[in-house]
Amino acid sequence: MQFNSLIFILFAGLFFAGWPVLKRRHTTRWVYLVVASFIFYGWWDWRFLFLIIGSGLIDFFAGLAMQRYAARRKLWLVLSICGNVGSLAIFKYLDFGIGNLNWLLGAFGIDAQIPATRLILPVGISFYTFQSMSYTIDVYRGLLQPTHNIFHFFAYLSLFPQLVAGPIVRAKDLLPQLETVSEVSADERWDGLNLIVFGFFKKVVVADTLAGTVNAAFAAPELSPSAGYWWIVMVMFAFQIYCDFSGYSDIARGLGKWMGYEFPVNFRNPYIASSFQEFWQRWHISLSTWFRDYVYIPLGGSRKGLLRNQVNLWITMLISGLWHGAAWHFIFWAIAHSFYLTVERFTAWPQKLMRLPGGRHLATLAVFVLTVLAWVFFRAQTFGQALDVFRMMFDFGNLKFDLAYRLIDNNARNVLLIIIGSQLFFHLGLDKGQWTASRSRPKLAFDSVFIAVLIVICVFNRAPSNVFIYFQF
Amino acid sequence: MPSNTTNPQPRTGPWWANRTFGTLVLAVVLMFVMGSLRPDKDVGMYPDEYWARKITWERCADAVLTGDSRVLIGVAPQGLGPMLPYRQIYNFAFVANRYSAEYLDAAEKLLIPESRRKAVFIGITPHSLTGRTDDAMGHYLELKKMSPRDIYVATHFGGLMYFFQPMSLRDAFHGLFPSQAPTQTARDYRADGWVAVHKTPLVRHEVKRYRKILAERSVSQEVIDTVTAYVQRWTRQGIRVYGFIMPSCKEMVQVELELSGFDPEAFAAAFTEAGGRWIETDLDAYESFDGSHLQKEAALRFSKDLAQAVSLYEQETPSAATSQAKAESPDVSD
Repeated sequence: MQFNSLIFILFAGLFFAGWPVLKRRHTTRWVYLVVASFIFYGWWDWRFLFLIIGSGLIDFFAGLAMQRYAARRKLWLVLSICGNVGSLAIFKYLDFGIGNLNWLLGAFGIDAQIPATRLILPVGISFYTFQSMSYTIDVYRGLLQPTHNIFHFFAYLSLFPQLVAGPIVRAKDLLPQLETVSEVSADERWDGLNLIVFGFFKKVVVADTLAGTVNAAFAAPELSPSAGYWWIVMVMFAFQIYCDFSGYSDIARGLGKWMGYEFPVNFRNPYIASSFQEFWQRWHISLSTWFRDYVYIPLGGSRKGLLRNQVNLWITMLISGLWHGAAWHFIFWAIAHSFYLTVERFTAWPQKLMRLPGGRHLATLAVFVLTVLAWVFFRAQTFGQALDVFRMMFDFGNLKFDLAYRLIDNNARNVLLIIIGSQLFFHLGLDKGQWTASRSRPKLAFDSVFIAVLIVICVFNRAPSNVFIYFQF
Repeated sequence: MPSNTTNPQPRTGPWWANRTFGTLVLAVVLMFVMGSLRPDKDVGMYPDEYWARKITWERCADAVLTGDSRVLIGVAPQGLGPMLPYRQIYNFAFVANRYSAEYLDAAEKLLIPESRRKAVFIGITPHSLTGRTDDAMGHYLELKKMSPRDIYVATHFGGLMYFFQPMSLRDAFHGLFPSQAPTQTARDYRADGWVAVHKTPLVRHEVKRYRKILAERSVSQEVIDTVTAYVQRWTRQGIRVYGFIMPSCKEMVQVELELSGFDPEAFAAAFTEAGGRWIETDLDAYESFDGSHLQKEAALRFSKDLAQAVSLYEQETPSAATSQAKAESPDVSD
């Protein structure tokens, strides 16, 4: 079920109609959460419920076994990780591996074409697998007592607002919240509404409108020969993916607030970052911290010298690239960011730049431009197409802004200007003004009308629906 | 057992008086106002309901009209009916449709197997004979991808979906002040498949668009062969097959002849050779609202002219099947 669908609106309406009553009793609350979440997930394809249940059962029992057979807890952890990584390997990486193996065999003159399995990638598998793994790892590290109630476990693993596209929530943060029932205050309800409405606006108005132009650009049989056009398209993609993904996270967080739960913030205006280190502290925070805590630090983090620190960084980033998709262009996207981080670490160029007058703005602009260039690898359908797009972007003799103007429709242009304006609003710190924090009557009335108008815009100015980009991961 | 971990916080007032509820109520009121301002309100069926029902039609027709949007808008079963001996005539044309085996099979499925008079009308435009490209699948193939769930929702909640169709503030303004709108359009989605359109002022925008489309895409011999193969197959089965070129406007005819690679005479000859009956039509004698599609009144007039031409043709070359059918049910041809 997609958030931006009529069926989800009906589903959410029914869920929240029953929630205030059913949440008050322990057993009914757990069962209600699990059943609702399974309906939400099974709406795509009920057969994939078996996968999430199977994968969850492995971790549930591994957690219990680690507590009961403490001496062999490492074995249970390994089994749990093998189960999780194994399901990811089969559904997400098998065909990628087969394709590369076929290429390798061909390079050695062996013509043994192994057929691809063409398995359908279950929606959100990377998200719930990582969430499930964090449970067993935390139990192994003694940070969490395993739950003995299977409904508790599945309520944590499959909680519908953040099941398929995050934020990735740790068991030690969410399970205690699920144990309690708190009345949702008026302020929390209002914050929840704000998050949901802004999330929908980002998705159905901004991301989906920009998607039309971006998809057409990349799907064209021949790439349009205009550097200006491709720079605008790639800037549009940068905002499309940000609004698509952060919009989902906002909606998830808003729904969580209405249920009485707090999910972590996943995005903090990443495009106003003035260094790559800062960018990764603002972009997909729940995944970045997951990799930091479960990959980067166990590898040694920055504790074993500068060289080893860089090796650990590159390994973590490459795994992060692969997490996004089983294709070389995702790996090259990760390589680009690893390179940026390494250069930044050795040269400290953002800090040096920021010492100059207007340096902070220049650093933000430079980080943004380099991020846009890395997105080319992410968005291109193939590595070859990415190289073609780079060729177009850097063909400065062929800027042809008039062609770009003709190819990009009015709506997409307007939306791009609005989103750039909003980024400047945050970059210049206008969100911290007195008016923003005011709780005066006119301000409260203004906020209400603003949100109501935003809802109407989401309904009547939405672009043709697109699936959330991060569902495929 | 009630939870012992409940942690109630003081409420700030009655639930209905809080900001969240008030804002949602305000949003609903604004949505209602905005939805009510939709300009050019369609009549007849709701568009989503219309398409969902149309894509699921089977075994319902004695005669089927096929083609692209020019047939969809330009041929009215109600205009054909009185002069032709077919009880049920359905317009099975789709927007940006191209003739493909899949589409022609679906059209055949509309025919009632027990019907004694079966006919297929093939409305030709050069665009409907161009080869399929991945970037332009056509509306029919898009609709075919609808899941049973989507079809159910569109069929039963078409009104709701229509109310919430995207529209701009400019649209709402034109809904509030119709006289300020640059165009006035009335669409009527009919249960027999015809979409009657009345639009003013009359323009020729489509000519420019087709010039661009046909510069990139030309008529495909493979598609022509597919059409003639079906004509041959159907006529062998005793199904009458009529072919005709859809009228548009003088400029459009010129552009299509220049750019599409379509040879009307060769096509008519191949069609006739395959067993079909070719009807000559006057290509620029009817009023078009955009240079491609016929105005509602023109569509009715064209449909009557087409029926008359078919009727004359039948009188000149009566067949055993028609004679037999007429003898069995004289009432419907009156």
